Amino acid sequence: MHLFTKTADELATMLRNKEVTSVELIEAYFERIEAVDDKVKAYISLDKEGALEKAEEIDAKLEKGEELSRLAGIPIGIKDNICTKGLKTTCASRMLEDFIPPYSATVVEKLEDAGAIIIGKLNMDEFAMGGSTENSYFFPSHNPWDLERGPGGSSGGSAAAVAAGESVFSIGTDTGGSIRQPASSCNLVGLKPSKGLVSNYGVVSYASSFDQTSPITKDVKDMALVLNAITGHDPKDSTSINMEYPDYTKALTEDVKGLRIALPKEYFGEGFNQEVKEAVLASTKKLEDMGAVVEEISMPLIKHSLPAYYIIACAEASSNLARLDGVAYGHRAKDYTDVESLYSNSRGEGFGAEVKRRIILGTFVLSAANYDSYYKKALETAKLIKEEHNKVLEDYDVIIAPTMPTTALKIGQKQEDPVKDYLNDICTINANIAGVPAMSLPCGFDKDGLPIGMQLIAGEFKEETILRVAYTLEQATDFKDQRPKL
Amino acid sequence: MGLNKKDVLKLAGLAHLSLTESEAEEFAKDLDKMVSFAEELQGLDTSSIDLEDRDTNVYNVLRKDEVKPSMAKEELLANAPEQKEGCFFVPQIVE
Amino acid sequence: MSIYSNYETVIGIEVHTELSTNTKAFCSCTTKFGGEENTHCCPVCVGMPGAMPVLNEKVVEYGVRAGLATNCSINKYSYQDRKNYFYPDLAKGYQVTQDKLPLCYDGHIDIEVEDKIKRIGITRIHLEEDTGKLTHDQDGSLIDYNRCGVPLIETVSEPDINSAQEARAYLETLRNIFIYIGVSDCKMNEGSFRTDVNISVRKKGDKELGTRTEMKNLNSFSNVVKSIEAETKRQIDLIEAGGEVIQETRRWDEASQTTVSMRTKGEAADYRYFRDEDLRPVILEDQYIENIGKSLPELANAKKARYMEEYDLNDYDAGQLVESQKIAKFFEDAVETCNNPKEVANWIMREIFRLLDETEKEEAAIPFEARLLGEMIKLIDAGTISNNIAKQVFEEMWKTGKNPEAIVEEKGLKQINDDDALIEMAKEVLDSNEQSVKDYLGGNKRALKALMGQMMKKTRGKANPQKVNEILVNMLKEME
Repeated sequence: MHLFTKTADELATMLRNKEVTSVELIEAYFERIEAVDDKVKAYISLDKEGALEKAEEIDAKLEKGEELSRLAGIPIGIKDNICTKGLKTTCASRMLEDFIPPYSATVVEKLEDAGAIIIGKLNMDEFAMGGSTENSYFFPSHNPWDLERGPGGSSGGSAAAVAAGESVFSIGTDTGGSIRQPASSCNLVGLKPSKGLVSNYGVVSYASSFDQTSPITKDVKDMALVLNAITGHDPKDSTSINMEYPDYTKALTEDVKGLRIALPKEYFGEGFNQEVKEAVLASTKKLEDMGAVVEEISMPLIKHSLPAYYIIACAEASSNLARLDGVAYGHRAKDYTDVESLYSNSRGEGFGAEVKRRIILGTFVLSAANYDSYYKKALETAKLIKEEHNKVLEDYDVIIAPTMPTTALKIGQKQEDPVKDYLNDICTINANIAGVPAMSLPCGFDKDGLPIGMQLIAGEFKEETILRVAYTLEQATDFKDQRPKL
Repeated sequence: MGLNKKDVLKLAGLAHLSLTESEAEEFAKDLDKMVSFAEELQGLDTSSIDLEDRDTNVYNVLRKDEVKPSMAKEELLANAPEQKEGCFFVPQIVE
Repeated sequence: MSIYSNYETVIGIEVHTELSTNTKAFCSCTTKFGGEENTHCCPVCVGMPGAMPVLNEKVVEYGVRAGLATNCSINKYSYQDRKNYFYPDLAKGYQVTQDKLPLCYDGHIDIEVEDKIKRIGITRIHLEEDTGKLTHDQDGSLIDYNRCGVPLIETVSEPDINSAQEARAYLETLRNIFIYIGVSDCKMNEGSFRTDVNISVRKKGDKELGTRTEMKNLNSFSNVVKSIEAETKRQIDLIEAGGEVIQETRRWDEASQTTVSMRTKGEAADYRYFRDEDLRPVILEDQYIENIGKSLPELANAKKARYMEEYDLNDYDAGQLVESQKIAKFFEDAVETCNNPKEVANWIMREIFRLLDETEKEEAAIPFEARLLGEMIKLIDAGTISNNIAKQVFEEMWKTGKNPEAIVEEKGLKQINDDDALIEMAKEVLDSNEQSVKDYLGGNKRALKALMGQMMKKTRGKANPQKVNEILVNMLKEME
């Protein structure tokens, strides 16, 4: 099989068995990118020179017999809202189209310390606002499973690259489903970690309460390896959790005896595609057959999560994006007469419509007259939702749900059905509101061969539970071995 | 509903965001949606929630008062759209 | 009776004080004043995409100190909010401050105006961050972010102040307190102590407050006084003429010596305050607050009262000594060495103040340790040197920092106390000054002065003047 179909773990073994060098890996991945990226359009920018340099260093270390992380020498892409020193970081926006950060995000530094090799920056919805990567200032990305469809969003490029073999794994962000939904659309494993588990320092903020730096991988083992590399307390991020971090690979056992599974009926009702429901329930049945206990429950607040999510996200975005004003960096308009018009024109030109929309809405809900009945009320509702989740996740080990009500949509096709559109959001936003970890795991394909994803949601800091359940399921199926015909 | 283009433009002023005519009209509809969101939330009983209760597992995140080297001036100004005499430069502020 | 006396002025004052921490509020850049533009910055304080803040522990400590020193209650649970607005010196497009839950609240300080004590309430003290600096030229504005992110405390007074004099006293007292407790150097000319004044007038007896105007960034106490007086008059004149005071921001114009309206913002700015989720709340234990309370030094008011009581100093002298905390410490250290507070006070106020200029006075830039002044005074008290000689010793101490005994030794300045030696010399003086002796014996008692002068000259000032006087008088008596 080709190098571009392999997982990080497999490649790590090959590197140590001298079946391949890191330089050869980089060459192979760039070859693949050249072959398919004009169709997939996952990458915004590439850095072959830098990658080869690093690969040579890694090969030298491997020669010497130095003990390195399993991620050493592995080529990866990074979502373009995560700062990479010296490499353009655009957030897929005109506002930052030429921005070269003078520093790297902590997650990038950690991966580089582990020896992973960053080969490029990945496409996304502008400032992570969107669900299809069609809001990118540059171009939409395409789903390797069906090039007429999108890979999901906002981390669409991150998913497309991994699915297409253009990146072994990648790092994206998830604010309301932005890593899980693309993972689901592309037959990949996407994990939104617990709030505070992975540093957000250097990750351009959209909604501070909800943004989580999130990996996307081909299988659960790679996910565990990546988590080991990127988790940990970061003194530069005040929201980072200071605790003993486990070795996540130790969670990769096949054991779900006595596992208590909750199926909230709100995630299995009207509006979900039949095939999606069936695939998710089939995997759930497999778990039951292996000793898990499944119960249907109700989580009534799920229905009210969208207003709370949207109000909070827009409010925070309107403030987080205020620093993008054309003064110290970023796009500056050519026409202006004074500072006021410099701001308005630079921002008006620099931001796309979706970003502007959310800034306007955020400004609205934070206005003095509206604060109490909009923002404050939304915060209170969010806290209620979090409490509801905590209660359920005390009585159950995991909540299972579909990741999306459908499979990947065609590019340019808006979700006409308002129910499906709404369900698309509420499937994933609740985990962000509650701050709990949630993974999207492949669980089958529809009749058109499009991937279906299921969600495993566990309690705060219970990533190990998710990994164990996911690994068990994965080993009992062959979804992770499928690759798109590209 | 009550909200219209004028309201959008007022918000755009606060947010220093120039909008096209069609954007302003479109966003007015979004404002209406926001209003209905708020109405939906009004129906929920959140009286049990105190946003200022001290139930938080992360607090007192404090840093020692020790100076660390700052960023080199050239690096800091590298992305500046316009600079003058080692400073970021902007046009007249109407005072 | 002028119309002005029918009115009452109501003043509230907001002071922004830069804390003298080593690093900024949310990043580890230095807070040092001056420095080449844009060299004390990093991604956090310049607001680069993805950068995140981490609160400086000293900022919390200094905030609590300031609160306790002004009799505030401390909020044991507090957090930061964002104040959203656009201005080129505001890197992030919002300022991190505290809106809903200030660190300190409900305090007061006592001020002295014309020998009367008045209590001024302090509504709140909260933590926030400073902005960058703008310099304007003919084409636009240059932005230096060195100051951006420097920690500030904002102290808001109750509108309990009713005159320019009270305002001045309030500011002087507050400033003195902050310097005493070491949270800021409060240098107005460096911008570390900035005053905004809210002022309105109303007819005496009226319950309702008049419309207030705001005067920002008054950069000296005399400007505060002048602008309050000018604005009070302006508002009263306006009302008397049938006009209405508009709520607006004004500034003090040095050239015209009047307050001038700044652009009216039309509508009050909507800052859309909301909690900053990049930061975590601060939860303080009672012990922490107590420890800080215990570590607070004695403040000026208390010190002054103690000096008057313990050392029997008068109001004026005590007041002079406590104005600068460093001078007060110098005083106390010197007193500890020689136990003669009145003498120490005199030397400080007469000689030391004369030699220091205003800034040096605050720094107590005295080139020798307090203990040495004490030692010198001990020498005077022991009769080893006279007061006059002490002046010489003092000057030498100031120049060289050497200790007084060494100076007296080196220069041979010991007072001559030996009666026999003095009698010998007195005989010589009387022998060589027949005329003066004659004058004295003839009834001109003032001639003694000349003889004393001769004795001092002969001994190069070292003769003990009391003894010399006694000896001469006795010898002259015998000659009568």
